[in-house]
Amino acid sequence: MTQPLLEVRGLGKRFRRAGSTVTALDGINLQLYPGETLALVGGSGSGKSTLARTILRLIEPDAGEIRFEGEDLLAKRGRDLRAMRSRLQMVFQDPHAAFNPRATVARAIEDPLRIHDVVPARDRPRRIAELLERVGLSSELATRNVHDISGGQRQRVAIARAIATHPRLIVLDEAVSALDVSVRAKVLDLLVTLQEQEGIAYLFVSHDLGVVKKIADRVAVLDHGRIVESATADDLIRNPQSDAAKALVAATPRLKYSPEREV
Amino acid sequence: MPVLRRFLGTAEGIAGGAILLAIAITAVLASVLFPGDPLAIVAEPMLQPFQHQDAILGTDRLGRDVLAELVHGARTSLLVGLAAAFAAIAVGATVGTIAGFAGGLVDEALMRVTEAFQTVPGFLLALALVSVVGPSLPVVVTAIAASAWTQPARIARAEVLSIRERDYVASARAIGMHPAEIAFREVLPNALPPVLTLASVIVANAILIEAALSFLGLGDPNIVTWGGMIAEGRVVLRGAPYLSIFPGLALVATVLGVYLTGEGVVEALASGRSR
Repeated sequence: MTQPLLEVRGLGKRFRRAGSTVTALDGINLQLYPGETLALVGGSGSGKSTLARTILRLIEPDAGEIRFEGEDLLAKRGRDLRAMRSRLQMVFQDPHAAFNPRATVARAIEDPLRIHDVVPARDRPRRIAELLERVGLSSELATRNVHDISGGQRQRVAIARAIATHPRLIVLDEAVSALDVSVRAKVLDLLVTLQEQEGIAYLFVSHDLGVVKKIADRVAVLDHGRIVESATADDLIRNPQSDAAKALVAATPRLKYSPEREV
Repeated sequence: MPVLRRFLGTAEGIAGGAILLAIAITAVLASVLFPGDPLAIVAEPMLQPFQHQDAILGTDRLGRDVLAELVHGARTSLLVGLAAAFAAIAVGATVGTIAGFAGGLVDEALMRVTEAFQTVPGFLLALALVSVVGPSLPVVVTAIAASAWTQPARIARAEVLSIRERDYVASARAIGMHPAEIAFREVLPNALPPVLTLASVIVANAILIEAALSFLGLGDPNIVTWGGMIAEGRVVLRGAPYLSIFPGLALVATVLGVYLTGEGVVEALASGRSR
């Protein structure tokens, strides 16, 4: 049996707010294999974004274990942790907030290339152009400010930045939610193509089952910080078991009434 | 440069910019307009102003050309003002960024130090430093900066506290950027604009503190300063008030110019943001 790329065991996180504690994550277990897409779905406040950020070590968990490529992720500190980040990337929900207001497209993509020394400095402009073309953008965009291009283009730049270091896993936190429908479909196609070419695994956080059905192999449903259901995308939509899953299916009417049709 | 155009569209911007530009040009051209040592004796002492071609603004008690002193004094004032403001903002923004970004004990320690500096009146601190170390231009600049860096530090820290929660900082961490690089390359430049609006106030204050130090005889004795000129003229205030009035007017004009320029910049930036 292949070793899981990512294995999460008993992950817990509480936030203390004004005296009361909120349990954001409660005993999360999940496994993700190389080249696979696991969707994390749930309503707002279900803890899915917290889980995504905890796996990226942007939030420190209180309990549990995260193993990535067989290594204990939570034990890593400083230089080790930063080096590991080249293999574990993230794309954020809001492509506007996820870039430094002063950054140009070229700088946004150059950062990971420079930090992880992926290519020598003199080859970086060429690599930036290649990466832009891989995500379906013109290399002429490189000199533009990230905030002067459209939302769809910006999210493609975010993807180019994420794949620059050849990661094994990309966590996509509602990565297409802020995009309008036509752009969303194209970005999803791009993600699928990149996965086929590079064998990247995706942890795809979303609240939209229509999108999830298109990209995910398996789906885990989160509710109040727990995984309440785990199934293939088709099974979950056809036959949701938990209340949270039923609510999500009901919130996507076209799936409820014609579950067989391609979205 | 839309900001520059908006700046010149405000009344404060035009007035302040014109005053400052005139003073700056005078200061830069001081050695061309009045070559030689401005502290050299050139004519009879105590010549009245507007009566002699060689010394349009008259001469002081020792027979030095008041206009030459005034023009060279502009250099000192602007130099001290700009250098002190630059140092104060550089130190303040750095301390504030480190405090806000690191948080925890580092933040506590740095902010207590900042507060300790704030409890001492700025002028007294400068006075104490200059009297201990001795009067020279670098010491005067350091002394003024030492009392002026606290406000930039507090404002930078407040900005950094809000910026460090933004997604682009999380994104920089996610790609493995070193915390020091995140703090100074991603966070600090974006925290700077509100800190820079303090610059005009700090420059104006620095010019006044320098003048006050010089007036008390704690300025650099080898350089002409407006504060020093006023102190000189005070001795003969009844007989030759112009000796104090001219440098006083120069001070007022400079500080006014700096303030108005600052107002113009703030207004230009604000109208840009609201659009």
